[in-house]
Amino acid sequence: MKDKKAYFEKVYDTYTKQIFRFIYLRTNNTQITEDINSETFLRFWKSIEQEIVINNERALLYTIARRIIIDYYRSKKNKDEVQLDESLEDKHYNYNEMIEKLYLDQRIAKVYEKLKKIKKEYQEIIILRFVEDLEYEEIAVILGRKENNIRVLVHRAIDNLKKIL
Amino acid sequence: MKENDIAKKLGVLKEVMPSTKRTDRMKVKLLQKIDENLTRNTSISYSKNFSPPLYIVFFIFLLLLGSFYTLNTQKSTQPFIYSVKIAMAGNHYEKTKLAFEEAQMQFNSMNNSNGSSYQEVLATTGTTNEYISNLHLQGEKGKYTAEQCKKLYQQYASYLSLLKNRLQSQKQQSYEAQISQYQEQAKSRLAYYKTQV
Repeated sequence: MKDKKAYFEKVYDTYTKQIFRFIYLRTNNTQITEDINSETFLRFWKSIEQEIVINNERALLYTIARRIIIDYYRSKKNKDEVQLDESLEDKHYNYNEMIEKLYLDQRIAKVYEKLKKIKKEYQEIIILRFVEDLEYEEIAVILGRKENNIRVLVHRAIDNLKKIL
Repeated sequence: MKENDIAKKLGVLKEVMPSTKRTDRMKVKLLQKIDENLTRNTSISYSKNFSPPLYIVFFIFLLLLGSFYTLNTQKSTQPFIYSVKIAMAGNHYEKTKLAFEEAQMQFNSMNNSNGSSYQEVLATTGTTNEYISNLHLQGEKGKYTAEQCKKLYQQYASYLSLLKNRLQSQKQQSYEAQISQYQEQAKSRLAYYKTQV
C-alpha cells in the first residue's frame, strides 16, 4: 500500500498542474476546477487501488478529467462558460510583479476569448494538442477516437482558428 | 498560418497555472480523503470477508445453549440425579452416604444472601437425617460395619455443627431449631458407640 501511495504522489506531483490547467480552461472557475481536479485524482487512486494496469498515466488523467467535466456540465446544465474568474496565483505581489501579472492575464484573456469563438469540440482538441502538448496518439486515447480522425480534427480546428487569431 | 505559429500564439495559455501552494493544499486534502477511504474499506472488507463456516457457528450455538442449560438447570437436575443414584444404591449405608454427599454439596454452594438456598440445604439435610436415622448402628452383615456407621455419624455431626454456626451467623433462627433437633438425634446415636467401647 505504501508503494501505491508513493506512486500516486509521484503522479500527482508530475501532472496536477497540467490537469488543473486543462480543467480550468474548460470551466473558468477555480473552485470547480479544484473539485474536478481532486475527483480526477481520486478516481486515478481507485485505479491504482484496484491494480488496473496503467500504461499512460497522463492520458488516463486527461480522460478521467474530461469525463468529469462532461458530467459536470450535463448535471449543472452550466454550459455557458464565464470570463476568467480570478488569478490562479497567490495575491501577494509587489508592484512590478502585479503589472507583469496583469499584462499576462490580459494576454491570456485575449487568446482565451478568441479560442472560445470556435466549436467546443475544436477548442478541446486545440487545448490538448497545443497547450497540453499531447501526441495525436494520446489525444486519440483520451477522446476515444482513431488517430487519423484526430489529425483531421486538429487540421480543421487550425483552419477555424486561423480566421480568428 | 502553420501549426507551429498556432502553438506559439496559444503558448500564452500555458501560463495558466495554479500556484504550488494551491496544489500542495489540494494534495493534503486528497491524501486525507484517501486515508479515510482506506480505513473505511479495511473495516468493511474485514466484516464482509469474515464468514465462519456453518459448522463452527452451529458448534458455538450448541456450546452456548449447553452452557446456558447447565447453568440454569444444574440445581434442578442435581437432586434428580442424586435421587436416581440413591434409588440404585446397593444398601442403606450407600444410600445414606449419597444423601449426605448431596447435603454437603448444597451446603458448600450455599449462597448466604439467597433464602431459597437455605431451604435447599435444609431439605437435603432432612433427607440425610432420615436415611442416617434408619442405619443399623451395629452394622449389617455383608453391607456395612459398625465402624463405617460410626464414622459417618461423626462426619454428619461435624457437618451439622458447621451448618448450625452458619445459620447462627446469618440469623436464620427457624432453620437453626431444626438443625439443633438433628444434632440431638445424632448425639444420642453416637452415644451408642461410647457404650460399646
